[in-house]
Amino acid sequence: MATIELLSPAGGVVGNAVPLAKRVRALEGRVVGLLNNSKSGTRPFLDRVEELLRREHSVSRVIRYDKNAAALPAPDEMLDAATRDCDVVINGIAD
Amino acid sequence: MTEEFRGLYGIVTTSLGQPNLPAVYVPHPIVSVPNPVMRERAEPVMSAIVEIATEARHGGAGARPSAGGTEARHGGAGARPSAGGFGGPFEAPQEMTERLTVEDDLQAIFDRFTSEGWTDGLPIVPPTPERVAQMLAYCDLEPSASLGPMPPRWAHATIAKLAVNSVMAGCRPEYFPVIVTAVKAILEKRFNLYGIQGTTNPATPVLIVNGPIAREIGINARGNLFGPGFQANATIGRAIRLIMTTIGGGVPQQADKSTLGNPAKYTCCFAENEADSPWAPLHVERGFEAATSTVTAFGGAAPANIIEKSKTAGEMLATIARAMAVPGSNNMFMSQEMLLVLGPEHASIAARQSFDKARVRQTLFEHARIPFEQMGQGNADVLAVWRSNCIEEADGRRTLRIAEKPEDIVIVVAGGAGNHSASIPGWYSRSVTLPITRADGAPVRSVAELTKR
Repeated sequence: MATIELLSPAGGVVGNAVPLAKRVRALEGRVVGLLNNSKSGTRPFLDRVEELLRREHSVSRVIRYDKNAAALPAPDEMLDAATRDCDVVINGIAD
Repeated sequence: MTEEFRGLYGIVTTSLGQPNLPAVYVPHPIVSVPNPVMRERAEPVMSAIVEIATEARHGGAGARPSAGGTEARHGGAGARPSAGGFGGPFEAPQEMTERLTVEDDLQAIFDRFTSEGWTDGLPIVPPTPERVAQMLAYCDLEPSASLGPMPPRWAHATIAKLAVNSVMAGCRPEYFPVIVTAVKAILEKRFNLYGIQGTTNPATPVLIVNGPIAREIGINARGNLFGPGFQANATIGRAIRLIMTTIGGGVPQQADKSTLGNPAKYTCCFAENEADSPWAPLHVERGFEAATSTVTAFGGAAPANIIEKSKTAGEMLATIARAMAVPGSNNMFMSQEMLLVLGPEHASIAARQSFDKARVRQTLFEHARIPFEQMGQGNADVLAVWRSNCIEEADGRRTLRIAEKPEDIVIVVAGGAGNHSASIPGWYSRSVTLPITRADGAPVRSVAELTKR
């Protein structure tokens, strides 16, 4: 069988490593951010998550962040505020 | 996120070095279900959300799917990759490109490349080292140079990889400077390639080439320009799609979540018909010299043809505006810009009545509105969030403008004889126009200036 040498078109993914946010031990007394990507359905879902966080997990505060476009990145100011003001951020992504 | 998006999420987290980054999944869909159902869906996943958000799962071994549908292995949620995007943590590419040994048979080569997910389903030209070298001869950047990581896999778009894909697409070597410039354009942040690759929308890069190089390499600006028959149009657009697939990882049904796709996702590249346009071409409008050649990348949906037989500019533009303001189109929901490809006959009707491009744009902006009575309450609720600055109320009637400002309507003149124009609705994407240049940034008048011979 005759063979031929070809070049691969595939791009290599090379050694990316994004660090993770530090975890908290428990949510009690913590400030929790809820980031809504603005897909329909996300708001009522997160409304219920907020209720349950307050009632069953005794968080001190819930801060809501609402993007106004699902397919655009959250604005830097929103991420900066969430980083500054929250202990934990829960992010609804995609559909 | 919903179960449907597991694949895309896995591709992104893997390329960010966190292949096991846990997430909580809910059933798909979420957009079309009633709000009370979405409330109920929070309850079964609540414990999984809390576990991921805390140290509860740190050190946990292996996947432990729970009733809530979590895929948690070890802790992790909400990390911010780097300031302002994903620019930071990527290493430079190590080698030019790896070699494959394949049976020397066209069908065997095609089968191998297709099985790897490296084609668009159409036959390819085998990327031999010789053919790739011929392509590279039309670029004065080093083959190992990277134009940047490409989402959502964030692999490097090196010049060598672009050349391999261009050969596969059937490009002639002299097309390569257009491809390199197009890739630079789609990698600009404002183009939002990350979104275009993953969205359920049919959006895709639409490439418009201006200036002498479009004519030099034979990019069709006249009849049937969105159709078949022209190698430069067909293969340059195809090369961009292959690059988005093999480098960016936008594999259909995995990372590319488009519900229906769109034939323009195979290829979409054309030149402005500068010779038959009564106005300054797009690149001159955007501040480039007429003798500079540019590539504009516009993120949009499929072209929608507009037949218009009026004899006056006012009537004609009113119809075109209505055709651009169709309920259910991207222009209703999310076009940051919209493209109008005005046929030369339509452009000449406008020009004869002293309409310049700015006046055409302003007229379209005024007329292109969708009355709220043409859309249901669900759409109105979404638009109140997504397009609040485009909603107007006058005489007790609410209408939606399709653009925030006239400048968001991008106009090019292209096509052949006939009473046709085309509306290409945009998406969450801003068009990017870049000059075709040497490595030092100086524009070239001919692709021959880039050859290394």
